[in-house]
Amino acid sequence: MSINLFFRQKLSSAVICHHVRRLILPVSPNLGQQRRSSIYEPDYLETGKPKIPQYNTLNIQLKGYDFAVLENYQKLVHKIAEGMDVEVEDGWAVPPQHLKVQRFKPESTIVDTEYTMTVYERNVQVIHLPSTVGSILFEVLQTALPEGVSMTVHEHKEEHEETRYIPDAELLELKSQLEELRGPNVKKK
Amino acid sequence: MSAVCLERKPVLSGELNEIERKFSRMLADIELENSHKSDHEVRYETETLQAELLKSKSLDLDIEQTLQQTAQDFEDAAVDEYNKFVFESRITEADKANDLQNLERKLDRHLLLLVQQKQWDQKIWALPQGLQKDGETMLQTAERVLREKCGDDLTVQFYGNAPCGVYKYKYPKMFVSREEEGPVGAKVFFFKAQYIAGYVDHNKLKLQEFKWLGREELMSSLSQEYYRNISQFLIDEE
Repeated sequence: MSINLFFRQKLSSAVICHHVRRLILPVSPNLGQQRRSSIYEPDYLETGKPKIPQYNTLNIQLKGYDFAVLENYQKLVHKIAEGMDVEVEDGWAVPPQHLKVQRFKPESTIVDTEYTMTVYERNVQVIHLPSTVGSILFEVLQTALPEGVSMTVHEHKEEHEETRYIPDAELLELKSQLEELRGPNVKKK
Repeated sequence: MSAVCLERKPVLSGELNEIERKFSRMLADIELENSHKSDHEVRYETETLQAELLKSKSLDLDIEQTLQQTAQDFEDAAVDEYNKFVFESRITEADKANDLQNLERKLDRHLLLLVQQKQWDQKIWALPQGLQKDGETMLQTAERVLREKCGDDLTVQFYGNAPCGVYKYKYPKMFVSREEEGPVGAKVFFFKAQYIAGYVDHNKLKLQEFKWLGREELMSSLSQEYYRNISQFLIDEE
């Protein structure tokens, strides 16, 4: 037990050492380096890296009109990914898009019928996906797609994170009022 | 050597059998019972209540309300429209004619491209394959082989850089070169791709030389060992 703790401490200090070295090097490569040999970097930092290249954080975006089917398919996606030993990080829903579709009578602008459709969305985030497993996973998910559901797979970016949050209308209003009160001539510090 | 496993994915969902139909109906009922009332249902209920009140107490009719379309009217109109709509049949003309070169066949199943290839002295049906040239990765070989055999019109999406299967075979003794170091056999690496659009170029492959087969028909056209190797990476269907 104590050997384990000792090893863990040694590991963390070695990692810190490595990070600190990265910070120091660009500034002054020769100051404070009295040793001729390089700093000890343990082997597992290189050998511990995965040998098969991995995808970046991926978002599997599922869109559909029937949210009972969609939610069940999200559950299935999660199960399939877990069954293939793929790390599923997160799964979330996004506020739906409301569409108004108008069908016109032929060659005129008179509205024949109007439909209000809502497109629901669910996302599943997957990390550390090896590229070999990835191709199999995408094919399996594609084959298992139910009717009315469409799937897109893309890399996770900041704007995807931003769309999850609902902007606070009160806060924005207060901020804009504050700006007005300050006046246009006040410089920002 | 690398080969291309080109599949057209199913366009329609498969027909449900008896058990599946019963289960899906049961799930729909459970979903209905568990869900909240939709706007339309709430409106329908309030309007039926109002109609009953009007009958029993004979209140003054509100002209505005009667001019609007009631929920019942809306439902009737919607049901009418649904009944008028004609669905396309699942069995296309290509199914009836059993046209093996047509991609419209078997819309609810996978179709795999098989090409007739010359192996030693006979012609056999196999997935399109070809030798790797110098300086090419296996995936580039697969893309080149597909373009050479089927033309540029075919739009295809390869699934990944890694192959999905291997098939090893030895050359028969008559065709092996006399020297000791010559190749004794070949390894074929399969790359999976999905069909997106386009047609096989008829100038490169005549009508008898290629066919799109469903899974059940594969066993009859391929040799047993080859079929066993291939079926390992093809997704199962009932």
